[in-house]
Amino acid sequence: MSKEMKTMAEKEPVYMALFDDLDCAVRAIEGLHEIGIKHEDMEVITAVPFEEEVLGRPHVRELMPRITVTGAIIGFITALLFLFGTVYDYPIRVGGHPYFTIPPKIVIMYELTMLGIIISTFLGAVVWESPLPSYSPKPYDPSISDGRIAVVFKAAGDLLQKAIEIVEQFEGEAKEATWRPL
Amino acid sequence: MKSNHKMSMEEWEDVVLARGEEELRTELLLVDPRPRREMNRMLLEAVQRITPGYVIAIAVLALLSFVGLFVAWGFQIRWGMGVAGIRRPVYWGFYIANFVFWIGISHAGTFVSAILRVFHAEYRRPITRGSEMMTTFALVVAGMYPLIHLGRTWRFFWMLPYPNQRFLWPNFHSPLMWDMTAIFTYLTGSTLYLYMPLLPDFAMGRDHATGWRQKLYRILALGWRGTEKEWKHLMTGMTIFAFVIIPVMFSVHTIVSWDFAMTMKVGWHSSIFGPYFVVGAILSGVSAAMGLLIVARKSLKLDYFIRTEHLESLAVLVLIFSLAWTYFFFNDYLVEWYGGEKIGHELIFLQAKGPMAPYWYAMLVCNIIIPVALLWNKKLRRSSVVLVFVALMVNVGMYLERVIIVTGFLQRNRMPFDWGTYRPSIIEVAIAVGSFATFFLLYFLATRIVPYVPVWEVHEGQLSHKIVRYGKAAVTAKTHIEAI
Repeated sequence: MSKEMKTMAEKEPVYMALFDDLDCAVRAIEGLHEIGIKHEDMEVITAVPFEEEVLGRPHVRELMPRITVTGAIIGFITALLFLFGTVYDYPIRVGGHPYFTIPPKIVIMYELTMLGIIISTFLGAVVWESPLPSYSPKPYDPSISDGRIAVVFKAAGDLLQKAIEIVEQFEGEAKEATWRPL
Repeated sequence: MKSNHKMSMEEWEDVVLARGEEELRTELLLVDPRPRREMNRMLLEAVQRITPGYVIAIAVLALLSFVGLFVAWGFQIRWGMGVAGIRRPVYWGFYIANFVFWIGISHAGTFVSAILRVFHAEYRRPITRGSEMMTTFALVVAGMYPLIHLGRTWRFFWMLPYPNQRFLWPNFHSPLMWDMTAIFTYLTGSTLYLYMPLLPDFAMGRDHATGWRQKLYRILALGWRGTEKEWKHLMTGMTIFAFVIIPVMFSVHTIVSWDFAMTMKVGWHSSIFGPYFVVGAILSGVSAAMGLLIVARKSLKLDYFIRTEHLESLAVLVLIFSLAWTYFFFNDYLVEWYGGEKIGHELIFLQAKGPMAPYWYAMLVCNIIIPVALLWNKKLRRSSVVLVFVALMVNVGMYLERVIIVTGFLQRNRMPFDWGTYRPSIIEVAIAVGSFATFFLLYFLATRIVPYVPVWEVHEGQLSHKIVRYGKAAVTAKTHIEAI
């Protein structure tokens, strides 16, 4: 939910439309948008992933590739520090290998780079972008995990009346959203 | 009264097609959809299925784990490594063989989940979770063995790179250090790769479970709701993970093989050891996953989700990797045989005609003859009993392979005065039994906590599949909704 919507939710109630059918949900989203509810004031909650194109929603921007590359760089630099930076403090001559040789160091460089990608991908996808964990109350309905599609929106007055008509026209169930602790 | 009604050609075709559709639905999970509510219920019932047999199994496994890891390992810590059977020249014994075996087992989860995801193999959907759990717990058990093998376990932190007053620093040129780094990377990656797709399933559990499970699922779901943003980032994260975890998986067992291959030891110093170990690991891992899935299906009553089609697909993979392992084994064997080096011939003699011969031939029977003889036949590879037998035999074979490579090859060195024999002590055997029990204990406990099937992935797959009529046949068709 957008920050703007969160602020509005504190002043005015947020509504939730629940659908059993994807096509009905998609048509209702389109209808809600046509009567003047902005995409930023809507949120679709589902039990399975749907692409934005399927739902007719704007593209979700994400920083994941950049976060992953950053993680890779941090991992690689950490490896360089371990492998080359500490040689001065702890010189170990083993098997006749020179201190600053490359081939046996490649393995650690590779593993720590991968570790950087792994950790940054998890933190990026779950903590930074989503962002989780977040147990505070939010508009939600347990029937969503049973396969229903929820469209959460904010509307008032005439707009709300029109919105409810559209939801009912497409076999949806409109109600004031319950803010449930998660 | 006999009906005089004769079916028209069109009606007859409809009947045939309807029968074809019914057969497809019986066979294939993704064209046999059920309401999501019902699938959720089946899954939550499964995790709550605590039978007397399950309780007894858990109690026995807990007892064996206690004896192996507390009593036997504690005895070794108290009295030192002298209680183990490792003696000159066999310094790497049962512990290292077990370590290599468990690392191998851990390969299946990633293979089944990540590689099949990358290639959009649809049959992966209900079986990824069980395989990923196997990877994580196998790595936990594998990770214990270097600590057990250390002897002075309490000094394990000497391996960690941090400034200290001992003037000791880990040698980053050592394959053992590479190994520790690779295992840490793989364990971290596998655990997070298991956890990420669990978020929607934990949220489902939070919404519908009761009691302590509901509280646990609530914490583990992290507040997941299933918004567009959450799904988008989860799917992107999982795609990145799938591509990253595959090379990490290959690197881990390659590096394990380098523990051996980087030495100048005859029999170990081989450039083919990396891929040979990786293929062996996938063979043992996939067959173990197959066996565990059959047991879990029976125990959790998940016949709807895990079907013969999934087990048959894994059986085909086992057959392919059995043949691949044969190829690498023969490469390694023939080069040694042809080389004409005296000590190499001694090693071959030790295996083919010497004291290791029963194990060596048993390994060949288990890894080649049994899977190839049974799995080429479609009827046999659709039988759960046959598949459990093959899974068991392949893992016996791979275990023997690890024991032969580690403890067998060390018995013959270039200088005959340094030859010897090895027999594991009762302590080593008890620790090995304890580690097996620990793995099964963790796995079976997890099956009653973690939703065993990623239900949202199954649901997603069912949305993208349907039965269509193609000419006179009913066939399945897939909509590539993931690729839009």
